[in-house]
Parts: sequence; C-alpha cells; structure tokens
Amino acid sequence: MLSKIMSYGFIGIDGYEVKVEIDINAGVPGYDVVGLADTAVKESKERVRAAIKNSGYNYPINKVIVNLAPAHTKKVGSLYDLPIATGILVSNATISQAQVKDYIILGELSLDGGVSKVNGILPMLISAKQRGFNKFIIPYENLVEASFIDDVEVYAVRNLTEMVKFVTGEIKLPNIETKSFYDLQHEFESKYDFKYVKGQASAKRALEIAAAGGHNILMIGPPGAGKTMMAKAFSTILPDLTFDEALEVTKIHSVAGVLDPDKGIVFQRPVRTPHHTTTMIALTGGGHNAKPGEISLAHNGVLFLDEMPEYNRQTMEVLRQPMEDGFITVARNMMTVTYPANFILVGSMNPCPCGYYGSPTVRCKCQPTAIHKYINKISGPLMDRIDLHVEVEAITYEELASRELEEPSSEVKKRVNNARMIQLERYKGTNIYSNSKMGDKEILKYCKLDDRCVALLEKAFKILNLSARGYTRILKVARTIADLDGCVDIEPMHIQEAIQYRSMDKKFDV
Amino acid sequence: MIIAEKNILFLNMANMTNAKKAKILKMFDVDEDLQENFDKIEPTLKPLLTERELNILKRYEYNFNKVLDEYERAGIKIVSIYSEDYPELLKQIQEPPLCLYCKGDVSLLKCPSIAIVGSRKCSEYGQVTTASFTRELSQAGLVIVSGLALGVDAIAHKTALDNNGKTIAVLGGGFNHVYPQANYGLYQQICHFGLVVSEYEPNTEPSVHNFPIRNRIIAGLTKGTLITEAGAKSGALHTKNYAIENGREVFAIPGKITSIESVGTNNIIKQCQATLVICPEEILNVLNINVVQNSKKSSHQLDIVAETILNYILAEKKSFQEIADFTKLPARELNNKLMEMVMNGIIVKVAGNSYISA
Repeated sequence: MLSKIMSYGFIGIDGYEVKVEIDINAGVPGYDVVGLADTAVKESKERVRAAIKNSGYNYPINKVIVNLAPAHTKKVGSLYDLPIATGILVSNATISQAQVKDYIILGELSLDGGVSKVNGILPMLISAKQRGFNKFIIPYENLVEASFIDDVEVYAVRNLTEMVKFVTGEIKLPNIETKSFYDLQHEFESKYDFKYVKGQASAKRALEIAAAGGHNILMIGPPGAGKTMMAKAFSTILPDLTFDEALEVTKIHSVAGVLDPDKGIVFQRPVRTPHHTTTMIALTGGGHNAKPGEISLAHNGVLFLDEMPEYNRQTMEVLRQPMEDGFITVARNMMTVTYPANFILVGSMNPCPCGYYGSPTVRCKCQPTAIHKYINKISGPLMDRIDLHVEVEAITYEELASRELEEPSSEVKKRVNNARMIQLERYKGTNIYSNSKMGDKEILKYCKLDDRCVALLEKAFKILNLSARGYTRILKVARTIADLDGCVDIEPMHIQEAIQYRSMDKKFDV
Repeated sequence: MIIAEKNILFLNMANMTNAKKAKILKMFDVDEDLQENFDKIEPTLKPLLTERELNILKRYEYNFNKVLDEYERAGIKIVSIYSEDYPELLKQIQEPPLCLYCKGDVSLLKCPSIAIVGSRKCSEYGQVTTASFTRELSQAGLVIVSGLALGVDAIAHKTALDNNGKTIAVLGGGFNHVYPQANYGLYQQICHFGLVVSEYEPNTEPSVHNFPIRNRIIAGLTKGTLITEAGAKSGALHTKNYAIENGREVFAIPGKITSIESVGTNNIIKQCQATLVICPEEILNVLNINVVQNSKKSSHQLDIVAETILNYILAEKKSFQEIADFTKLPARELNNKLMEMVMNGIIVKVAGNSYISA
C-alpha cells in the first residue's frame, strides 16, 4: 500500500518541501531508500525498524520502498526518520492517510521510539510558512526554537507513540505557545560590559564610533592591554538585534547546528572568535554539505580576529570579498549556497613580534626589519577595508587596582542607537543600513565638506603623510562621528577626530 | 668617456679594494686602455690579483662595452674623480672613491650639504629630533646626505623629500641590490627627486664590511655630520670618525643619560668629539649659512588647554590615557585637541598611542 507524508529539507538557509512516499509490496523483506539520500538517511532503516517495533507496532515483513521527492536534490541528515516511520504506519493501516496529510513532520528517531532534535528547524518552519503550510509535528527538543514563529500550529512530540496517539486523536497536544522575542531578549545578558574595562578612553571611543557606523576596527597594542576583553564587550554596545535580524542569524546557526537549544533563538549579536589556526573553509563555509562558516555565523554581529598577523595570509585574504558584499557564495560539488555574511570585523594585533614596540615600560627587543615584516603580514587591501585603527595602551597598576566602575555599556549603547537611527532615516529605501556601507555615490551625497574641512584635510594629508587610500575612510568615519554628535553636516572637528584613526597608514613604516 | 674612467670601471667589475685599484692604476699610463690590452698586461697583474678577480676581469675582456651600454640604459651616470661633477670636498678625503655610480640629479653633489645619520633602531625622541632638524636644515637649502638605512637615515631622507628638499643616499652595495628591501620605495623616490650614489658596481651585493667604508663618502660629501641618535656601537660613529679624520664638523644631539639609544651621542659629546647642538640654527651658524628667519613655531597662539597639555608632555612622552586622566577631558574632545596640536606641529604622535612635544 502506498502512503505519502510531507516533510521538509533545507539547502543553505532556505527550505524546500520533501515528499516522503512509502510503498510496501509483497516480495523479499527489505528496505530501500531512493531520492539522493545521504548515509544518515539510508541508516534510518535500522532506527525506524527498531523504533516501530519497540513502540509496540508492527513492522511489515515485506519489501519497503522509500522515495524522497524531489528526487534530484540531495537529502541530508536524520530528520526524515519520523516521517518514514509515520509512512510505514500509514501503509500498514495503524494510522490513516487522512490523519496525517496536513502535517509537515520532522524528527530523528532513537531505537526506543524516542524523537530527538534535528538541525535547521527555524529556517524550515519559516520557509514552509511562506509556502502556505501551517501544521507541523516536530521533536520536543526543538520546541523553544519553533516557539518564535506565530500563526502556525506546531506540535512537539517526545516519542513515536505520542505522535501516533496524537494524530489518531487519542490524546490532545497543546499547540505550542508563541513567545515574544523582545520580552525575552533582556533576560540573556552578556557577562562582558564596558564598565569593567578600566582606562582605555581612546580605544573605547573608537569602539563606540565603530559600533555607531558599523565600521571595521583594528586594535593595536601590547599584550595584556585588554584588547580581547574590549572586543568581547563590543557586542554589548551594538544596537539590540531586531526580530528579523535575529531570525536571520538563528537560521544560520540552526543550519550549522550551533544553536543553543535552551534559547531557541539568537538573542544577542553573535561574537565569533575563530582561532588563528583556522582554515579558509572554516571561515568561509563549505565542506561536504556546504555548511556556513565563521563569517556567516558572525552575520549581524562581530567577527573577532585576535592576533591578526598570526593568521595564514591566504586565510585572511578570503575575507576581502565578503567584507565588501555582505554575503558569501559557497560552491560545492552537489550544491551552491549563498550565505549572508554581514559582520563587523574587530581585529587585534601586537605592534611588533615581541609586543612592546612603543611601550613606555618594557623595552622592545625587535629588529626594525622584523617589525616591518610583522606589520606587513596584513595586506594593504585588507587594511584598506578596516576603517578605524586604534592604538591600545598597556594598562597601569593604578587603573587595574581601581574599584571604580566606568561608564556602562548601556549608556554607550544609547548614543550608538541614536546615531544608528539617523543613519536608518538617511538611507531609507536603499539597501544600506550604516555609514560603513556607503559607496562613492553616497559619499558624494552625504559627506559634503565645507571649505574649512577641505583645507583641514589637505593640511592633514600633507603634514601626516597619509596615503590616498585613507581618504574615503576618513570621510565615512567623520560622517559617523557627526551622527554621534547629531550634526547634519560634517564639521572640521569631526574630520580631525577621524584622522586620528588612520595611524597604520603611515606610522610604522619607518 | 675618457680611458682613465673606463679603466676604473673595468677594475670595479672585480670588486677589489680601493688600495689595490689605486696601485694597479699607478702601474700603467693614464691613457693605456687596460681592457683592450688585457692580454698584454695580464702577466704584470697576476701577482697582484687573486684568481677570482683575474677570472672576472678575463670574462669582461671582450664584452665590457655591453656593460657600459647597460649602465646607460639603466640611467646610471658615472662621476669619476676625473670628472667635473666630482665634488671637491670628496676629493680631499683619504682614499676618495675613484668613481661614483649615480642615479638622479648629479648636480646635487656640489651643493652645500649636511649628513644626518643615526641608529637604525631609534626611539621616538630620535624620530622626532631627526625629523625636525632635517626639516629646518632642508628648508635652509642644505642637501641632506644619509645612508638609506632604516631608522634615522630613512626619516632624514623622507623628511627632506616631504619638504621638497634635496637629498643624497649613499648605498653600501650596488643599485641592483638595494638594502634594506624595506626602503626600496624610498630608494626609487630618491632616484627621482634626489640622488642615489654608490661606489660599487651595480651588481655588487651588500656586505657587512662595505657599510662602514661607504660611511666615509657620507662624511666626505659634506662639511658637517649631524648624529641625531646613536647607541653605543652604532654605525653612525664610523661616520663621525671619518668626519673627524677629514677635518669636518661633527654635531650631536644629546639624549637622556638613561636612554640606551643615546649612549653613543652622549659619549662623543662628553669626549669633545662632537659639538652639542640643541637647535638647527646652531648648525647653520657653524657652517656659515645664512638663516632665513621664519618664526613659524611661535606663530601659533596656544589656548589654555593646549598649553596645559604641552606643559604636561614637555618632559617626556605621555600616553593618551595619561593625558586624559590629567586633563579630565572626554576622549572625544581630547582626540580633537591632540589632533589639532599635531596638525599645527606642536606635538607629535608616536607609537604606543603616545605624544611628545615636537
């Protein structure tokens, strides 16, 4: 007898419907899966058989053919266990076809009949909802993740028996409650905060500007200055995630399988900190199933690269294109997937191999050529895409020992939010959201300079020996500083401050 | 090209010492072409030359003209001791280079000049003093001579170029092996806007013992040598020795007694080998160069905040955080103020997010 169960699959962060067809024939007992299934799907044979048997139902002693349609796309993962089991139960008349025809069923089975969690629930639900499906049966462990989607009926089951009883009407399951994202957002607070960062007034100011304009930033300073701590606290001064942004981030995290099941959704802007031994593929995404990489996991958040010169040069260079475009296309044998990758890059590095060049307390032991080599490990084009360079000073004992708390992140965030509001208003109707993404056209339009500013810039380029590359960066940053001040036009003092942040353009080249 | 010049260039191919070159040249008539008659003179040269040197010369016996063509194509001008362009000052030193390979404006060789040399690894103090002295001296019309090394040398060249001044770089190797590589960009700039000089054949690789020897040219080209900052064993002290031997002026800028970067300069001041200078005008006075009075520095009216900051950092460099703690200004305003002061040339930003007075 033939049965059809609706299920779902995903490529990248987009979903597509999968029809699970089961036919049970007379013949030599066996179990075949057709429809480009990967190993995890093929192995469902044993899980499904054991789960049905251990739940007290009959497993057919016939030939079982499972077809996953559409047959031309590759099906990945264990999420088809539950629909296949359901299909078999329909085929041997434990359940009727009519009872399950409205549901999209997803879930992995364990041998005892329990239903375990699967990856990618959120992107699949969002996509299915857009295509007009509104009834879902999902694993209980994925409940929280699904609870942020409204206007759909989602039922979470713990085991196969529960599902069978539910669809046959023996028991009633509650439709899961929809949670409000914004109510819960504040329950999860970062353990980092600017108020714990002692001193470092100039670095904090630079980070504030970076947050306000979405600029990439590089911190240069000796070991133990607090670069890493500030980078981690950086996400706390970024504007709160909106629900739409959070869904985008959660989709990626869900697909990659790094979503926290207790939270179910990503509440805070992600901070990804890949280690400097990371590979190119780990950053960009890829592998057999074209999984998202670190830069996509950092979407709408922060990608923190600690000790930038230690990274493999080639690995770093792959960042260039996504930094411009805000997405990355991963092409693999079976599929080509585009993941969003719109992140703020926060880099940190020592000023020289020993770390103490320019330090007032510790003498630097490096040869001049060694310093030159070290700095040059970050290529010019990459440095070009980093708008702000700021030097971080070693922290003094007095600062460290002081018990006074500094300005908390929440205060800084208020100013950042105001500046972001101005930008959203300015770029309304375009696909730009922050000053850092301005193109040449926007720079001409929104970074108008009066005579005083032009004179100042001219003087600065002459006296400070800045490279021409820095010009547009200075304008963009000046625009952000003006936004922080709430000024409509860029004033000379904004330019003056922006110039401060181009130190790598000229300084270490002697 | 006269035959005597050609002879020098020919001997240069073998990269022998200056003394040996001079000895060989003395053995023959000035207008005897060594290359053309190499067969004939080979037996006479044999006891003097090593086998390697002899082999090289043999190799160039027939195709030396090609080499000369190459020089021309690469824009290399030859200024030999017989040439009109050869500076008188350089002739007066012991063992003057017999010929100079030049790239750039050869007329600079005869202009009034000053050598500015110092450590490769200099402190912020060295960077700032080098830059400010170079600026003033360059603006007074002096050509800045230095050795294209990292540190003080590079700053001197750069500052001169930035102020539209003229500069001469004396290399310790041939043009095809510019050392250090990091200064290759600077080298090209100087070829364009100044003059690069080497006594070595263009394919000569730089070697450790060549650098002290080329220092005699740096000292020899100029009436005075300024050492801005030098450690105990700095190569700049060689330049000083050559300058003293040849009766040229030596100036040194004093440093803190605790600073190891200034040990060399402080020592030579103590030993009365150098004149202590604290402002560029003193050098100009000694060299009898008319100073065009431009009271640039005092033209900036300082406001109270700027004056407070300046007084605070006058003694030694202070970091941004220290200045912020001292003035109690928020980062935003302090950023602005400091930048304004940097642009007005009152203070200089140095590594470590710190500032010192200019």
